[in-house]
Amino acid sequence: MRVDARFFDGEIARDHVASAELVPEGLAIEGIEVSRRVWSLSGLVAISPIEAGRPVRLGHDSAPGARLVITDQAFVRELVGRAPHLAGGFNVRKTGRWAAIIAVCALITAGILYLTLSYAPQTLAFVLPESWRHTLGDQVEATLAGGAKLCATSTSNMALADLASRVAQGDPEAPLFELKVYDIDIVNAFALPGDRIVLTRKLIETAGAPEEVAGVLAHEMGHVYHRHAEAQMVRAMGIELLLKIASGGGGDLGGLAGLLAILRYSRDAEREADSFALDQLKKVAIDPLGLKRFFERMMKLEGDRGSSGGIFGTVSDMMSTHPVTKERIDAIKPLPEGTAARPVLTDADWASLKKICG
Amino acid sequence: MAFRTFGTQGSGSETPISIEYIDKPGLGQIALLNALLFVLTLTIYRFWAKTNVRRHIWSCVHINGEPLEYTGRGIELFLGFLIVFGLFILPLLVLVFVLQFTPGAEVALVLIQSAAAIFILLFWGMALYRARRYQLSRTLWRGIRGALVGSSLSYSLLYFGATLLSFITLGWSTPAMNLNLQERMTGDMRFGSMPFRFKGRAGPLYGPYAVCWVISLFALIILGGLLGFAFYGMFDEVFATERTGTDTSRDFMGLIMVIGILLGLLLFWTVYYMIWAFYVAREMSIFASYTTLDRARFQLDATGGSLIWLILGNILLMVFTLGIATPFAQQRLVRYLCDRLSAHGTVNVNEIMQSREVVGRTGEGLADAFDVSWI
Repeated sequence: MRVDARFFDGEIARDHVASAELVPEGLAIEGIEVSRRVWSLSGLVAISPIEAGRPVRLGHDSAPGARLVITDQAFVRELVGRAPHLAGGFNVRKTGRWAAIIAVCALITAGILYLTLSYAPQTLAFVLPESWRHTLGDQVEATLAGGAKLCATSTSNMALADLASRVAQGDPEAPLFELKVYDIDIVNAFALPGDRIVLTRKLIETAGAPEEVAGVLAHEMGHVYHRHAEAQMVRAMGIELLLKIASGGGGDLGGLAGLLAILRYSRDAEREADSFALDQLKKVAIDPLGLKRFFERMMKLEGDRGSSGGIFGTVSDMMSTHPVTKERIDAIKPLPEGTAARPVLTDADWASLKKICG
Repeated sequence: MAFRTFGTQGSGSETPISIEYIDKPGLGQIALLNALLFVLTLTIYRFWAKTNVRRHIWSCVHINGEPLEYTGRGIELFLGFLIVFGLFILPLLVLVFVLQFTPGAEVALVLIQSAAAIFILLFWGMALYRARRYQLSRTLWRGIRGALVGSSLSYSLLYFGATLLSFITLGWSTPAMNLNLQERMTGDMRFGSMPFRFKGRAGPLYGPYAVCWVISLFALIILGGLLGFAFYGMFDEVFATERTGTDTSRDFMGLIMVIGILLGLLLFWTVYYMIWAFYVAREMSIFASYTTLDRARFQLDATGGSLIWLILGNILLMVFTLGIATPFAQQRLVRYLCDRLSAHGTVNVNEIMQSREVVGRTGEGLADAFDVSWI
């Protein structure tokens, strides 16, 4: 079958009258001003999707810019019969390629997310320069305090210094940290980047005995030991960086204002801190049941009124940042037989701690 | 459907030019698929999405009955993005990140950020020019591609100079400099071997410019006063709650304030752009009338009202569909231009040879980074 067609040779804008013919080797094109050429069927490309009743525009891999326009519908049908890929539609190779591309994309995305969210933060937390950790600590502490009064620090207050050294007593592996108490009306404790631990006034008031405060402190020491706070910060930065990359450099996400929300640790981190706390309490002979009683107290409080928090994620209570579960409470066992618990603080220290915020 | 043939025989035939947008189905499907993959690939699909849309829209534009053809590929845009990202954006992001947490680096941080701002200003023109070059080199009509033959660096410097001058002169250099920029860009444009030419004076631009300038100044004063007055009252309220209110009511008032300020700014910019739309329409029309190809002169019937309707409609279209209908907004833009653009005179189509310009392998990296391209 031989039909009239219009041919653009890709060299000049004028069109040429030509004839198109299906030959065994492919599609032959020939005209008065067009030297005979044969386009292989496999290299043919439909420039726009083939639709019944419309002229078909064809190109070929070997001749960029060259175009053949065919109007004869019977010829088009015959051509598509011999070169089905022109009709588009379902194509095993093309679909397979797409599936592969999507799968690879998903894998890469998952890989990047895993690296940014899980693996890298814990690793980077231990290589952050000291000065960064303290800058971060300053920023988080300022956001956390939000104007609340700083009641005392372990560098200036005897009772706090005694408490801190009692929990870390004689243990060279225990992390060094600075302990601070803020006049905040919520029961909570925080481990911040740069080796600092913050207790709230309400937490100290709520605690029934020095052992309870010591238990909480040991738990926060666990966070400090594992650098969970630093890891969370790195995670937040990673997320921000990813968002910037995805949006092509634009877009800013609240910056450091939302840092507090990030100080919610994963269950794994809580478990690590708990297990550190139990070991530590055993080492320094403090009764772990204090922590247990404190957790139980928290559970009861939670039952009484539920958790609270401001619209913009202001300081929220312990239950929302350290969810206490039955499993965590059950994991706390008393000191082994033969180890006698020694007191945490003198009565005088405990009394002065109780009214540390005046 | 029948199609017409022009000047099939012989050379030296002078052909009048007609431009027409002929819609065809398929854009909705493209829009949905693009939106889906955009999300699934964390926005990286945007390069292929853009390509799909362009291929469709280009093929709807018919010049003398022959459709345009877009031959760009998503991977070219993606590579262009990777180059610019790796060379500029990533180092900058990392640097700013590191400095943010290094004590005592505040000065360095400010310096870096100002350097970045100047960099963007300096290369904005380059982004525009290179995006245009890429699009022209990927646009085929009758198998012949377009080209942009000048230097993107010199255009960029001209653009930077024009921006500075516009600040210094409170905008009064804009018409003359826009003319300069347009002359450079259009003068560098080729269809195959045939150059576009641009020639005209800036004088006719100044009448409409002066009118818009004065009106927008008045609008600025009136709206500024009104908004200031409204905020003054609101601040009072906020400070009262600040002293006496609870945490929640303080948060709430803060939220109201932020929304109020954003709405005020939105109102201001809407009015501002509406005023300037009238100048932009005049400028587009005048620039078109200064442009010739062979023996054809162009005419664009753009008006302020129709331009406002086009842009406002597009914004609403995109906002209310969460961006999914963006391809339709772009289609509206191209259709607007095609419907209103005409050419008088003739072009010797049969004499146009294929462009000999080198075709670059990647495209639009800067344009994507700065987000300057409309389509």
